[in-house]
Amino acid sequence: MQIFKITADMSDSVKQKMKQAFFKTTQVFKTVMPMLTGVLLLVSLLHQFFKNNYQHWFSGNLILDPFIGAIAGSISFGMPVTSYVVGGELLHAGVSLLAVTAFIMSWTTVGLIMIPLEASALGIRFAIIRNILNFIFALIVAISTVSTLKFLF
Amino acid sequence: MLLSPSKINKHLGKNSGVKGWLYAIAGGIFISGPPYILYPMLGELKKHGARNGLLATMLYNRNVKIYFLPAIIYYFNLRYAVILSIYIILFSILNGILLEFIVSENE
Repeated sequence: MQIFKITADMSDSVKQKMKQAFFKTTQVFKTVMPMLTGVLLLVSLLHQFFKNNYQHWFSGNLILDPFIGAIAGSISFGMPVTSYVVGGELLHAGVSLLAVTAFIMSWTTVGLIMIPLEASALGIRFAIIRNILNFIFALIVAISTVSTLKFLF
Repeated sequence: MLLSPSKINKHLGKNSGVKGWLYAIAGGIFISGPPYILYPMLGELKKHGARNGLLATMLYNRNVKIYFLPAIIYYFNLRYAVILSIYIILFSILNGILLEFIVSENE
């Protein structure tokens, strides 16, 4: 009986915490909403501008293509799965795996458009340094992945 | 709200050690949501004592998504997905260490 009482008490405590968490999340949303609206408007604008240009940016140059891929990924925005779809289509269109990997990597790890939001939450220096490091690492990871694939298979 | 500051400090704070890095990697892989939801949430973790390096590692590992594996395998292949995921995890740690070296905790 005692065990049931303790479980019921714990359940009330968790419910209370869940309510508080929900309330706090709502407050965070209220704070983020103006910034979010601006970001979404900017993303929609840039996406319309860039969506048909991805295939024209890659010339087949093994040095330039990963850079272009990483830059394209950095200014793009969306769920990781979208980058796989776009990357897969670019690969089918003849773009090198190196460029596509750099594109996929920077898509999620670098977010130029999101820097103001990231800076407001985590600090301006954190946001800038993290994005610079991630851009460099996108190139290194792309080179490492493609080299390893060539070496092993 | 569900994690107390002391728990955050213990698992993601200065003295979290190797476990902290493991939590950050796992957190990045399993966490889901767009950046505009994640950044304020990570900001809260930072306020409660989470290390910059671990937060950067968590953000880097967002690219490893188990539930997106079928998509990446479909467009590329399994070998590519596995090798890329391994490199992402390895470089996420290096990313965290370097960021922590450059950006001090109170910035």
